[in-house]
Formats: sequence, C-alpha cells, structure tokens
Amino acid sequence: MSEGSYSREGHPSAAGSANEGASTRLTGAVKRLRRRVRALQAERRAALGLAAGLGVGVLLRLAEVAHLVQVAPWWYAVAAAVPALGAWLWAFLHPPGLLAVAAAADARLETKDRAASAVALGESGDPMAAALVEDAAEHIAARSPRAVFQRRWAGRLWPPAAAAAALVLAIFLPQWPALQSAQARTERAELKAKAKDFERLATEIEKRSDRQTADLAKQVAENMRKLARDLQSPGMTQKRALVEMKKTAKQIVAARQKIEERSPKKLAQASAELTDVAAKAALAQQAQRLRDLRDLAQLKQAGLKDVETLEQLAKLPTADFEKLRNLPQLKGLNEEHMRRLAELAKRARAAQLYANLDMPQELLDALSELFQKEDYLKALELMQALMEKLADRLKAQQDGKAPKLTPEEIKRLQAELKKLAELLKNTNLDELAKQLRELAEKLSKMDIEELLKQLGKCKGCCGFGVGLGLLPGLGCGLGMCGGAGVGLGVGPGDSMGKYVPGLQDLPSGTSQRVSAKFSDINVRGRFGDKGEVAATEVYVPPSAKGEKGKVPYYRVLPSYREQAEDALRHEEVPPEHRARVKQYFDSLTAQ
Amino acid sequence: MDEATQARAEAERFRQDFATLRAAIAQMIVGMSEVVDGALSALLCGGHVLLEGVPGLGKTLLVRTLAKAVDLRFSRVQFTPDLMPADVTGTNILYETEDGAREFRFQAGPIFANIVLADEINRATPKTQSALLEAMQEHSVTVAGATRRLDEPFFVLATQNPIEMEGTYPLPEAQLDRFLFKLLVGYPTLEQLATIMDRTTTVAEPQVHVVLNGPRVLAMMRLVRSVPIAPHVQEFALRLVLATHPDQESAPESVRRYVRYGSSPRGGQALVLGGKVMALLDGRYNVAVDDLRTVAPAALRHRLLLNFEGEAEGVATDKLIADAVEAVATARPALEV
Repeated sequence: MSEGSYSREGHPSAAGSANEGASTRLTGAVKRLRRRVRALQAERRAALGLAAGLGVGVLLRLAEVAHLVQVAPWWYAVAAAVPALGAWLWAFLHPPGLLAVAAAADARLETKDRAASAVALGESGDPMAAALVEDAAEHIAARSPRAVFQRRWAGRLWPPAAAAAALVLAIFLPQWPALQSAQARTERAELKAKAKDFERLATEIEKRSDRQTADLAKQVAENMRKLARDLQSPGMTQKRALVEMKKTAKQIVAARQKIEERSPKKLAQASAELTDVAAKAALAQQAQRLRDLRDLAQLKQAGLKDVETLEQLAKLPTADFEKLRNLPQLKGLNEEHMRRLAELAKRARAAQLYANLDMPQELLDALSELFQKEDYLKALELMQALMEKLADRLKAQQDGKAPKLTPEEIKRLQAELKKLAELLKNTNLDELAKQLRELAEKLSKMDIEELLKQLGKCKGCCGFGVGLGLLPGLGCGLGMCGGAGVGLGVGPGDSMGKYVPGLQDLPSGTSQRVSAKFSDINVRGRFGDKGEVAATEVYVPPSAKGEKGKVPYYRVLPSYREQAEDALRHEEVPPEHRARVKQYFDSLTAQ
Repeated sequence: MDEATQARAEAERFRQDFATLRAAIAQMIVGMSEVVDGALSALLCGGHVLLEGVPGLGKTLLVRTLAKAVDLRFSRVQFTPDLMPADVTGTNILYETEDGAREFRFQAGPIFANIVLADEINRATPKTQSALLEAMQEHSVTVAGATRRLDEPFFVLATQNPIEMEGTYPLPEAQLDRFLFKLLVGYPTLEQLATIMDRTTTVAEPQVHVVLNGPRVLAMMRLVRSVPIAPHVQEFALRLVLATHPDQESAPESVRRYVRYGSSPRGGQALVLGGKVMALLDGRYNVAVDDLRTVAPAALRHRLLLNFEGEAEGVATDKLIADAVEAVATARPALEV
C-alpha cells in the first residue's frame, strides 16, 4: 500500500449480482466524475503551463534587457503556448484512476470515503460490501459532476495572471523614461529617428527600382524595414544597431553584386572598379589608424608611458616620435604620411599651445574622413595650415604681441575655413561643412576664444561615414556618429562601388602576456599547541584507608539519568520540579 | 431479501441497540458520553478499557451499570498491594467429599465473569497485575497447569487514579498494550453536577433495565468485524501507527522529540476496530479516515512511551497523537482538480 493505491482501478461492476444495479449506477457516476476531473485537470495544468511559459518569457525579456539575447515578439507567444498546450495534452492523455476520483468526490461531498471504499471493495462479494456499494451509489449517483467538481477560477487563473503581469512589467518597465538614463533616452530617440529614415529609404528604393532590379530592390527594402523594426525594439542598443546595420550592409552589398552580375558591364570596367574599391579600402584603413592616434592609451602600448595628452605628444623628442611607427595602428602609413605627422607635431610643439588649443574633435574627424577620400593629402595640408595659423595667432595673443586677429588674418582664416567647408560639401560631413561656413561668416565678429568655442560646438555632427551606391541613381550611406548614434544619408548616387567598412576592418586589441613567477614561502611554527587532548580514564578502587572509589561521572550518568526518568514517569513529581531535574541532567550531559 | 438489504438491516438494528444501551446507561450515568461510547465500542470490539480519572467521577458506577444493562455476569476486584494472583484467577482448594475423600477442586476467581471491573489496578503488585495478562489476551486462565476458557463476551474495565501515585505500581507497557482503549474520565460540568445531585440525594433511585443480553452482544461483535475497510483507509491507520515511532520518517517533529517508543501493532488493531464501530454508528458500511481520527486518541494514548524530555516537560500524549494524525493526513496523496 502506498501512493500507488490511488492509481489502481477499482471494479465496482463486478459486485454481487444482488446489487448489480447499484454497482452499475456507481460505476457510471464515477466515470462521469472522472471525465469532469480530466477536463478540469487539463485546464489546471494548462494554466500552470501557461504561467511557466510566461515565466520563461520574463526570463527571456530579462536576458534581452541585459543584452544577452535579442527576442522577437513571437518568441513570447511560443514560450507561453508550448508549455500550456503540452501540459493540457499530458493531463488529457493521463486521466486519473477511478479510485482517486472517488476519493476526491468523497472529499468534496463529505461522504466519508463511501465512494472510494465502494470502488475499492465492490468486487469482494461480501454482504456488507454490497451494502456499501448501494450506500455509495445513493450518495454519489445523483450528483452532477459539475456540482461535485466546480471550476475554481480564482485558483486556476492567478498563476498565469501573475506571470502575465510580470511579463508586462518586464517588457514595459525598462522602457519607462523615468527609469532610463539620459544617455539611454537620447540613444533611443536617435535610434527611432534613424529607423524612420530607414523606412523612408526602403520606400525610396522600391520606388526607384526598375523592372530588372525590382525583386532585389524589394528584398533590400524588406531588409531595411526589418532593420528599422529592430532599431525600435526595446532591447536595441547602439552597439547592436551597428551589428544589425553591418548585416544589412552585407545584404545590400550582396544585392549590389547580383545587380552587377546582371548589368552588361565589361569585365575590364568591373576590374577597374574593384581596384578602385580596394585602393579606397586601403585609404580607409589608414584613416582609421590615424583616428586611433587619438586613443592615447595606444601610445602606452608603444612604450610611451608618460604621454597622457596631445600636449605631451607634442613635446616628444624626435627619437620617441619615431616610436610611433611601431604602433600597429600606423604600420600602413607611408613615409610621406609620417613626415606630415612629424611636421605637424613639431610645429605644435614649437607653439606649446596644445594645452590651450585642445584640438577640436571635429577637425580630427574631418581629417580622418578626408583620408578616405581622394583629397587625403590636400586635406592634411589644409588642416595643418589652419592649425598652424591658429596656433601662431594664439601664441602671439598670449604673449601680448597680438591682442586680436587682424582683418587680414580673419580673412585668411575665413578663406581656409570656406575651403575646408567646400571640400566637405556633398559628403556625409555636410553638417560640419555648414558649421564651418557659419564659423567663417561670424569670424569677423569674434575673437579667438569665441572661435575656439564655436569650433567646440561642432561636436554634435557626424563622426565618419561612408557612402554606398546601391542602385544606379541612388546611393545610401551607413555610418556611425562620433559617439552619438547611427548615421544614415542618401548619397550622391552617381556611381557604384563605394566602400563599406566592415567591423572586421576595425583594429582589435592584441593579447599581452604578463610574465610573473611565484615561490613557496615557508613559515616557521610548532605542532601541538592546539592539538588533540590525550586523556586516560582512571578508575580508582576503594582504598584500605576508607577512601571512596572513583569512576568517571559519564560512566554512571546514563544509569542515574534512567533512574530519574523512571522517577519522573512513575512518581508524582510536580512539573516545576520535573523541569529542574531535567535541567540538572542536561547540564551534566553538556559537561 | 438479498444479502445487501439484510446487511443494511443488521446495521440498522446495531445502531438501534447501541442507542438503546446508551440510553439505558444514561439513566444512571450523567454526562461522560464519550467515555460511555468508548466503553461500549471497546465491548463490541472485543477489547478492554482502561479508565483513568480521579476518584468519585463514577467510573465504577459506569461499569456496574453497563453490566446490568446487558445482563452479563459482573464481578469487581478491588486491587490492593496484598492482592494475590490467585485472588483474581482462582485456585485449587482441598475439598472433602461426602464419602470423606479429599480432592482438589478449582475455585474460580472473579476473573470468571463477562464483565470484570479491576478497580484501581495500579495498586496491585506487578505479579498480580500480570495475572490479568493471559485472561485479557487469550480469554483463558491457566491455574496449576489447567487452562480454562472464560465465557464470552469477556470484557475488562480497569480504573486507575492519576494523582495518588504514592504506593502504586504503574502498569507495565505490556499490560497497558492489552487495553484496546484508554479513556479519560473528566470532571462533570455544573449542569451535570446538578443532575447528579438530583439523582443521588433524593428518595427516587434511578433504575437500570436490561436491554441486551450476551448472545446479542456477541452478534453485534460479529457485525462489527464484518464491516469492510478499504485498503487506502487501512493504509492511513497503519501509517498513523508508524508515525508514532520517533525513528520513522513520517513521524512529526514533536514525536521525534518527545517519544521513546511508539505504538505496537495492537494500536493499529484498535484503530481499525474502533473505526468499524464508528462507521456503523454513523450509518455507514465502510470505515472512513475520519473514524480513525476520532478513535486515535483513545486507541493510542496509552501506547506511546515518552522519553525523558517528554516526561520532564509534561507533554500531553494526545497532542502528540494529533500531530501524528495531521502529519499522516498531510502526506496523503490528493487529487488536484
């Protein structure tokens, strides 16, 4: 007899012939009850399965918030539905035994085990068992299964309701603006704006596609729309957005290649374009490496440990400056590039002005951007000239020799700025170009400090970006702003074959082995201070002088304790004295 | 009339006879309904009862009234320290016949009755107490190598006083285990006391009428044993017995802490038999778990041996039994709907 006894099937139909009718009635009633119980159990298990599935959904959502996984909305539906359906099916396919159902009915109807006993004993043929079957049939048969096993909505619904509430909270709470940082809010807003741009771009692509490329354009547009949806999903971050954009960019490149395959271009032309792309890719890599110069931590890896600022870089002796060549980021620069860099550093070092100048990020960005373009050296010269002029002028101003810029100097600066703005025109750095033009226009009204401030305002614009010609007559650009978000723009669209930098092109850190050695240390000490206590029991017999024998008390304590127990059990000892006796012996045992 | 109808009729007659007997006893005994029902149940189960209560609560009167109501042979033995076994069981005495010859003849003791009242049983020595062992268990007495059967039904009601422990010999566990139930006779309420005064301090004396006889009692005893018990209900009884053992996993924490030895298998027998009587009295033909819950204190309270800690802290055995019942009930498999 065990729990299994509940799962045994009874055989009430086999009761004696005298109470055949009662037995049949009882069997029918219990079977009806079992159908009801099976349905209710299936519902209950399904509800529990649903709750468990929703709990899994909560975990998925938490993983998404922690950026461990990206979850599509239909994942939640699957996570909730599969366990619910599985639990329902399992319960439906495993109905309870008649005995268990009868016992449950007895509990509900308070029939004192009549039905269960009748189901279990009905086949015994005993007169009393026959009477029992009749009695049970009278108590059970007339009862409606619905009345016996009522559906208890509260107990059934609260687990899935609680789990659903937890899932809703997990989904929407992290999106609540009050719980997000300012940076996260800004990031989300930018991602949302970019997503709208992508949607607009997708529409544009479909609109401009011709009959030959309609299928590919549709595919690309769908990918872009999916990207737009992903960008608006709750778990999206800037980093993941870049990854998604990289995927989409690859899809676009693949689509472009298919278009190229369909186009009747000659092989030579394609080869020339590929060569062009390769050349620009090399330039882009170099530009990226130059950008990495800003990361002064890299200088430490090169052995220039004391270099913390650009000012210190400027102060470097020539020999140390040559160490820059060993930087992995600069290995691709040729002699001409290094010469220009050295000259720039030399002039800046001479001016001793980098601490005050604080070279604007946008200028460095513009520099690296222009490296990607054909005007690489020209842009470098331009920036170098501009900075030299600014540095010289500032130095003179600090020395008290030239308190303010002269109209000629301002005019020259304006010309240079406009020149730079012209170079940046129609590129991804349109915004910077615009600001540079504004700067040039306002230059006459400002002194040099305001000029530097105005230069500092340019930080909100795009960092670097590249154009991607997708279809004839249409181009799009994917890029990353300087720490501000995802950039997107429709390019000139006049050609194909613009280079898209992949993440694999970005420099990756190199592992560094740290040499170390360790040695054993011996500590002097002694054994035995806290060691085990060695004890010997001593039994002392009574001596001839009349001294009493001695026996360790724990030898006699059990018998004394037993005597005390007997006394407590058999003698009339007041409760307060009982406690005292017990405490006494407990204290002896503790010792 | 088919067997089922006949069984139902017999059960109905059982209920009526029991009610009649209860009413007859109530003519003399005021209150103590649980004790009366327990004693009658033990009688119909074929077991014996140990009544525990302070003097003057009507224990002896209850037994005398019961004996009168069922028209059975009744004897009373007042247990004292100098009572000898032969005083209970009887002995061979030298008898001189009419022709002058002498022979040993067995002089039956008071144990040779249908209902024996062993009053203040704990005042006799263990040697005398043990004289009851064979009679209670085997329903026979062996004197000088000759075994003599006792008349059926044989029913021993022993009483003991829980407060006057000086000069007593507490019943050994083996003796206690022979009693089917141990019933606690409580103090009457104010209303019951008033009724007792009315009945015992006036001229009119209540009379007890014979309502049952020996054969009818035997028939009722057979009917009790014919009540079926379902395996899952019997399992509950056995799990309950095991739960009174401190070394069992199913034992509750209080049992583990305060009990030295749990109930013997006789405890399970007492539970099942008592449950059968309860079922018949409730108009059922099956033993229910609730019946076992009801009889559990009476059937088990004298079978639990408390340990030193339990004795010292004065733990109530009934509380331990209630804990064990709850532990077993909680562990029962239940169908979740």
